[in-house]
Amino acid sequence: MKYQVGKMGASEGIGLTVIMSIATIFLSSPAFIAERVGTLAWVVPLVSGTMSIIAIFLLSHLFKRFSGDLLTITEQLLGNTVGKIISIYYMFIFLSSAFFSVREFSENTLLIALPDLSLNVAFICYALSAAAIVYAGIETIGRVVYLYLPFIMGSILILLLAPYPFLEFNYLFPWQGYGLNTLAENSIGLAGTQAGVIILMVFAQSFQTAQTIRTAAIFAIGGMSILHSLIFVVIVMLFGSKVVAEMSLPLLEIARMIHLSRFFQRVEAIYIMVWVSVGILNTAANLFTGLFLLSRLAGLPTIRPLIPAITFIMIELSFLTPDITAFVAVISKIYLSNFFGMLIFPIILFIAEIIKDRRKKSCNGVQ
Amino acid sequence: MDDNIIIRLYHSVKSILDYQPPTGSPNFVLDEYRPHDNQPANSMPNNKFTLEDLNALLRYSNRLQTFTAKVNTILRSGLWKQEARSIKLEFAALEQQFSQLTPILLYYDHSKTVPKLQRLSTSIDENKQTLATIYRLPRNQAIVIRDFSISGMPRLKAFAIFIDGMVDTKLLNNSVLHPLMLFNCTRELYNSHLTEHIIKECLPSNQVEHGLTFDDVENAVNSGNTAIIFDGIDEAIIVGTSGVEHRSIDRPQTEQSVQGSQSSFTENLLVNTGLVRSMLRTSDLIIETVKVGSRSQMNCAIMYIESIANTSLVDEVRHRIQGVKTDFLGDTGELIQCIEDHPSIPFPQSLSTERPDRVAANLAEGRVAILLDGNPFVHIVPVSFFTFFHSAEDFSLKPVIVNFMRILRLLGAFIATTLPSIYISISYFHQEALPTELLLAIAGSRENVAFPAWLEILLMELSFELIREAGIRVPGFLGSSIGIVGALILGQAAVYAHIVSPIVVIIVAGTGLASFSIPEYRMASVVRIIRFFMLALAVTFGLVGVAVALLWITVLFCRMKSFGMPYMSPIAPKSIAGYDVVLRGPIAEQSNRPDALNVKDPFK
Repeated sequence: MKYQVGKMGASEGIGLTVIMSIATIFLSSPAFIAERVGTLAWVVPLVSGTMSIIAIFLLSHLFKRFSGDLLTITEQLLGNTVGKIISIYYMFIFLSSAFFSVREFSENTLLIALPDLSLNVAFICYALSAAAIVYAGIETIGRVVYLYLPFIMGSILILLLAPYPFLEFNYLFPWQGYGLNTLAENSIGLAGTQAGVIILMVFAQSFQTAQTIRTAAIFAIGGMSILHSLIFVVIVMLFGSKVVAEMSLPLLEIARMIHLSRFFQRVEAIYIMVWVSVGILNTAANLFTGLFLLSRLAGLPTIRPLIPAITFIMIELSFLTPDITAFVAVISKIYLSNFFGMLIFPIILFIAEIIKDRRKKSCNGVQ
Repeated sequence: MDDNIIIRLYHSVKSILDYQPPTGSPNFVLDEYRPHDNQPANSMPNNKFTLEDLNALLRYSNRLQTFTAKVNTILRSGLWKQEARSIKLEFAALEQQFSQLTPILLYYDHSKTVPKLQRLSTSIDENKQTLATIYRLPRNQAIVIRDFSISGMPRLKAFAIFIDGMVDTKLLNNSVLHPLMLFNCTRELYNSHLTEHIIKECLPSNQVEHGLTFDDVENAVNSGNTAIIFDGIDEAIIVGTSGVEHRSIDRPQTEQSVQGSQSSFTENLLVNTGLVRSMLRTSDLIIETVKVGSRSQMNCAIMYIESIANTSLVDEVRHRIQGVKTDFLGDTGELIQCIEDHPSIPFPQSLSTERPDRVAANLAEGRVAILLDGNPFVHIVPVSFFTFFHSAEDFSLKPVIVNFMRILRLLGAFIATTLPSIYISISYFHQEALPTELLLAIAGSRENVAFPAWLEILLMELSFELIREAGIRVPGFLGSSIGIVGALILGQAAVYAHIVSPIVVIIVAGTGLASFSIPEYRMASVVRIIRFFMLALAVTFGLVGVAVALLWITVLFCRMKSFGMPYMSPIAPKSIAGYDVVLRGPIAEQSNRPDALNVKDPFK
């Protein structure tokens, strides 16, 4: 059994990875990717997903040889200073994701569900809901997501299947999109959108074995990549890549367009419930991970005292960008910068481990 | 001549202005109890011991004086040869009493401030005196002290102490008093083997044991047994004569089933444990008894199967029950609230059942049952959320039928929690979710209603709760009649009066029906409360509020534990389920016990 404090299994791992990965499809990220690669957008998730799995495998290899969490291992391999800098960078990724989630989900909640609600109230409600869940701990968050997973997946599949009368296969052409070079560049560059999956490595110590992490990574990242890809196929076949690039929330547009009969039409209601749950859970998971790294860096014994303070800061920071357009511009840059955290640092750590291992072997040989 | 109105008015005003204290005795005021009020102001704590010592010595001297007078009479009458044996033995008894009156022993006994912790005396009068202190005699009239003497040469003075109404009088007369009073043999009085001899030769009762302290005597008497105390012997014989009147085994009142066992627990602990044992005839079915409540001293039984139940779980249950510090505990529900993991969370964390078959099935899975004397409901721990949607007859029916019912119950719980809030959300914020015709029909039905939709729902929900509560409180057939008539008349009249719309009546009725599909009463009650909380969020934030509320509830469930076992087990965290959680599989596929229980023997 695995219900002891701080022990997580593959199901919690899958839950945490999925919630980190799935939030982007509810937001403007599909439009952002369609704008860059056109009709070949559906390949991007597959490529970036494969690279994410490779990155996780490289890191899990390190966890087989070293004990401790991400901070400990980076310090062991790259020294205290570099280790701390890398951990600060990861902390920035998670905390910024939490801040952006609050902003984007709140803005879009007003857009799709509660047009008369004050934006400030929406910020506060999202942030406080997430903060309350953070108190329950990362284990609980993972379990809640795992419990919600069938409902989330079920509703997305309904969204993908229900508009079948409107699907236009020809919209997938020209099949090369804006060119394979563009695809390759963006697939690698946009791997940063999946940087949240590093959460598996942040809490690696809590998982049973390295194999548990790999199982969670394969199922969650693999499944999410296929789902992302299917979503791209459907939205491009429904609207065409040019129209998708102009949309702020493509998945919502699918929900709005469904009309199978007068009793099954405009299923935004289902969409809203899933949307809110995913938004809050994603914010909570990011916030918890960011706070965890912060407390590790500061050498604090617990994250609890930080929760109200950082939540307050999160609400304040969410107000910074004047409107959603400016916000999307900022978040695009953040996504691209996350590429380092997703691919570059894991490779650096892996290389450092190989070098260290060789040195150790040569030292042993001399002796 | 009577006073006229002006004079009476004058007197009234005068009495207000010119206050005179009342001359009669003051009215009773229930003030806070101050323990020192009853003690004399200048009494010293040590004086009490001195006084008791002196009283004991005085009683001894009186007895000695009586004995001397008796000896004197016998010697004068010339019957000393016949009475020599009796005099010798009585003298030995006096010697024993004297040896207990040495200053050291007196100090030791009286240093125990609670008299019941003292050991029994060889003097029957001393013992009677101490018991009178413990039971506040003669004020406490339920306590019976029956003096008698055991026949023989010489006759031995003794008394039996029991509580009237708690003993089986026939048993007491036939198995205790009758054999003892007719006991006729020559014996060595005041020797150490007399009690053994009486137990073996004279008492036909099957439950007999020795008592050495007043605590032993008190516990036995309070449980309905009889204690017999003899002159000259510093121990008591405790005979099992418990015969509290109790309800006979009846059909279950709250967990009725079409199939399966039809017996239910009663208020008698021994009957209840016997019922379970009759279904689990294994020698490793352990029944541990713990006393709870410093004043009520209720027997609480912890039942488990030694070879299956996790030892740490049993230890934890025992530890928590032993840790309950209260003077009165009369109900299992009360006890569970003292020992559960999250007392402040309203969701039930133990399964309450009145069916022995359910207890037996759960014990066989590795769970622990908690029984309390005087209560027909047994609590089973640990449990998961899904346990509350299982019913008693699930075990008797085919999986297809059971699964259909279980899904229906879960759906019922979901509807009972969310239907009113979803209606409010859709009618206030998300009208596009409804087909146009339905939307127009709802709008048409609400056209003449004066109140907003949320107030309609709130009024009807509160009315429904009132009818339900009244239906439970009013006894017999009248209760159900009030429920049906009240609902029909209220609903119909409210619609005619344009206080509520017909759709609201349908929604509230559907919600109420759905809430009754939850088999566990406590879970159904919580669901009804949560509905109001969700309604408030739905009125404010629409479906966003409903989603947030559902998320919080799920988080709460995933965080909760029932006696260390996760509440959402075996789904979150995932563990091997044994195929009887949400759905029930074929019997052949239920060979595993729930993994979450971490039992000693995982296979059935």
